Amino acid sequence: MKSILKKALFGIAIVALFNQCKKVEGPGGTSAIRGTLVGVNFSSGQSEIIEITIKSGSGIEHGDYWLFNSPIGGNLYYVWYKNQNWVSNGNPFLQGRTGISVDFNYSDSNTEIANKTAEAISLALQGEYTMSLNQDIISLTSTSHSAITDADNGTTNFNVDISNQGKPDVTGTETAIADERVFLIYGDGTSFNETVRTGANGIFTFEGLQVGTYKVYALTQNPVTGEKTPVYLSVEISKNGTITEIGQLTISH
Amino acid sequence: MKIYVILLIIVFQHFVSFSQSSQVFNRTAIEGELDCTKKLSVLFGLQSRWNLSATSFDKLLFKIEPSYRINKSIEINAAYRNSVWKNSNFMLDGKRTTFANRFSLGLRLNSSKFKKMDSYFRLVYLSRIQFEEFKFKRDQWYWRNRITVKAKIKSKLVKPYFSFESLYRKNQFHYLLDDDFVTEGMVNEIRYTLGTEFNLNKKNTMDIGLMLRDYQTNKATNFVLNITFKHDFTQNKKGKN
Repeated sequence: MKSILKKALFGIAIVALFNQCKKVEGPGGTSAIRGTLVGVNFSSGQSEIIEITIKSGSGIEHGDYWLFNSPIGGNLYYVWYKNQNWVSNGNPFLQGRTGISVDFNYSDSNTEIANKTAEAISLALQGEYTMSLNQDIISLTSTSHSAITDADNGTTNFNVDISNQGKPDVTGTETAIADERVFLIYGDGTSFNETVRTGANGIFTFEGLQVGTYKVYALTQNPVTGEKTPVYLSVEISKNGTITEIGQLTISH
Repeated sequence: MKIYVILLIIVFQHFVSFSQSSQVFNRTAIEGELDCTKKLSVLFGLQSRWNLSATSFDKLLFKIEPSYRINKSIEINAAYRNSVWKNSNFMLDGKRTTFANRFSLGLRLNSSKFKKMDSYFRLVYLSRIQFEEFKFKRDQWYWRNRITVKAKIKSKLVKPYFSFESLYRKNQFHYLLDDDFVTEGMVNEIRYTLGTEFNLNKKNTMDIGLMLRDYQTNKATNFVLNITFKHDFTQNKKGKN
């Protein structure tokens, strides 16, 4: 009886040794992950929108012009009107500007003049603006976010309205982000298991972790669409009771 | 005898005063004991734990507890315990159950040499260091101290007892202080048990006790009803307590 029991106890002891808790990534450990969340403050700019209300041919004189501009460094334009009955050329030849000529008759209606103007502008543009025509109103929308010198009606009696002022995108300096959420995924998981908020100095800490691999992420905001997507950092804790420094996690916000 | 009855009533009244804010658990165990040599004995057993308030299964445990008797009063006690329960972190490892391993080593003193005192009751003091590791919890280090008072009454059938145990967790708190991990300990639980052993016959004993788990933390105080059946496998028993 005793020998059987001794053997049984020995067997149990062996099983117990092999039956040690194999720990996996997650809570219950004595290690930590620490990092700093830094971000670049991004302010989205605006496109310039110019709306020109074209008048009829009776209100235009041979050689009349109006002005519009591209972003700094780009083309500067003048749109001038030419009547075939006149012997003189009529081009004002404005220095430093590209002329866009539009043939017109004094009998043309405002929509006819607007059509001819839009056609001439579309041939001259080099991608600085997209254009649309609605009756006698031509809309020019800048394709980039930048400050643009305002358009001017020149010698015409057209209404030139800046319905949206162009403004450049502003990328701020890199600063620590306080009170922002940072997430932790254990192992090969796909959704987060823990989340903490950063302190005043942007530092975040996940404590009480076991040895293993983890993923830390924070959400970064697309400056144009505003969509939030995660920025991941893989981390490996190889020893108990240690702090694994992951440095900076950079996002846009 | 009257004094025992009064004491029993006082203690039960004390327990009942806690009952409105606590849950009741049950521990049912089957144990076996064997004297391998004159000095070495082994206790082994299986225990199931139930939450009676929630009518749910709690844990299943296996333990083996060898003791080495130095003399009549001093005993070295070691123990291994494996416990299994439902895994609340299933999403982490895909396993429906999780388990823990517990190891302990300690010293048991009994008052058998204090003859004068021994005629009324017997004191047993057990002090042990305990380590338990879990899969999804921090390791736990405990220093446990238990004093059991076993009343000596004329009845050979009934052996009432009362015990008091303090559980000091060495690493109750674990936190980062600047760049260093710091642990702090505290007595996080005190247990009071009132019960009695029934000697069914020379080899079989039944132990029924009510234990109050008075947590020194935010956990609610719990009651545990212990029911243990113990069989002594030793042949030719001589003078066993």
